[in-house]
Amino acid sequence: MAEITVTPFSDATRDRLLAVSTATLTSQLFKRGLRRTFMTGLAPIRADCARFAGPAFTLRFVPAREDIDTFELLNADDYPQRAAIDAMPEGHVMVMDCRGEMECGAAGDIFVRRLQVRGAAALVVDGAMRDTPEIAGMDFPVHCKGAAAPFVILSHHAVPDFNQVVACGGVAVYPGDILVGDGEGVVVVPSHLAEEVAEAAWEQERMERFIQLKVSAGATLVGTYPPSEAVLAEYRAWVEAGEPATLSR
Amino acid sequence: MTDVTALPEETRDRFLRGSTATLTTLLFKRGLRNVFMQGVAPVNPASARFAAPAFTLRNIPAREDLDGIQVYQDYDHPQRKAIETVPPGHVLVMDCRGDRSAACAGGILLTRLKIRGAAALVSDGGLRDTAEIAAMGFPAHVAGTSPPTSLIRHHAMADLNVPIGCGGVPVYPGDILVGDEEGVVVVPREIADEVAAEAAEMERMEGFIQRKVAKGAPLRGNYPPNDEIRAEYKAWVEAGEPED
Repeated sequence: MAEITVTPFSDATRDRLLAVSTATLTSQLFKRGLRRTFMTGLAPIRADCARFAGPAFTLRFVPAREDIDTFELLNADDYPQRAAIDAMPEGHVMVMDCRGEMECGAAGDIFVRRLQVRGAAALVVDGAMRDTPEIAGMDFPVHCKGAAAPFVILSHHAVPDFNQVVACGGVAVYPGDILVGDGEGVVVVPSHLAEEVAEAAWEQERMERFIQLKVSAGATLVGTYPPSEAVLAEYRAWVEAGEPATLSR
Repeated sequence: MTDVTALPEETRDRFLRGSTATLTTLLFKRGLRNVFMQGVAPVNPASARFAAPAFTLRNIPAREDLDGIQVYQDYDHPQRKAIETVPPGHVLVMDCRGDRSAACAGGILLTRLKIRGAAALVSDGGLRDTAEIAAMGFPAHVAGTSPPTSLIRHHAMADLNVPIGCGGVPVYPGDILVGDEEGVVVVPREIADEVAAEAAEMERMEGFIQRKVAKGAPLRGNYPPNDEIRAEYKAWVEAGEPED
């Protein structure tokens, strides 16, 4: 099978991605033939601490088995969840494939604190989290499906070969894919498209800001949204004029 | 972790004669509660029975730019490779994340599995060509009928035979899967022989109790059996388990 080549992620691309919405990104990915890019059922624990952009580092869980997933396993130094967090490079997003199951918390506040201290960009989980009140106070972006108090081994077994391709919220996540989060949730951008999509999304949002100004000033949708040639010319002039906050008439 | 040794004939025969219901009870007695696959049923109840070690294939969600129809031109596509790699006597188990909106396989692949001597196909995804497969006499347990090609939903992973989830149950390579008319149960390899032996005995005793109840015996004293009924059962076994 063809190997997925990871394209390096630049600070400029990160800045662009942090400035646009996941809604815009899904539109740009759709234009490129990618339809299933937004994780279904996930939301940020705190809408005002939801934004991030970074490469994915993955951990996969299979269902737990009573005789394997014991306290002894959880407390072992090489427990894969602990090993994964210490193997993850700075600036990456920890993605946990929980198969959408919500009967236990995939991780808790100490785990999240360790991620934060190690310079992770975010935690993304298609299951539940525990200690969510504490996590809400941490200023670290966590996107998940909800809260559940029981600990991870109740229903999850962490597979030791971390950083493999996983599923999360119904979307394929390849290690190194760029994940972007905002108040609505998480979108997955293949790494080779990240720079191009970031630019296109940023440009789309700038044009939408201009169209907003036009519509606020009384323009009809016809001819303005989508923009006609005349409005496009007007838009270019507006950009050249330094994007003024009000439109000259 | 799991001992992947061949399944002894005796153990296999005992599993084939028993029921998945009995096995779930015996596993429960050993602390294992989550052993029966949810939402997975035989395509044809008349050819549902099998008992075999698991060989696994994991699928993740498809991506439009990676999972085009051309990937099937590659004979080493992991789905094809799994079919050609599963050892004879093993059951091929596919993790489809419970998504049955696409087929995990169809008639030609199942024919190949059957010819290669596989024991069964188990998947928590959909299956196409089910009418043809139902007539094949090959056990297939899936989450439903689904004609669309697997590529619309599933990307088969190249790392064959890894731990997976299927129907909400963990499946480790080499675990013994047992299928009957009701579905599929997963028995850890290391306790398979012991569970099979106990299942055979439990089925025999339940056969005896079934006869008693059919003749009008009340549940009290008979189910579960008291000492008197146990003695009667022992005598019945010693007498060669007579029909009447």
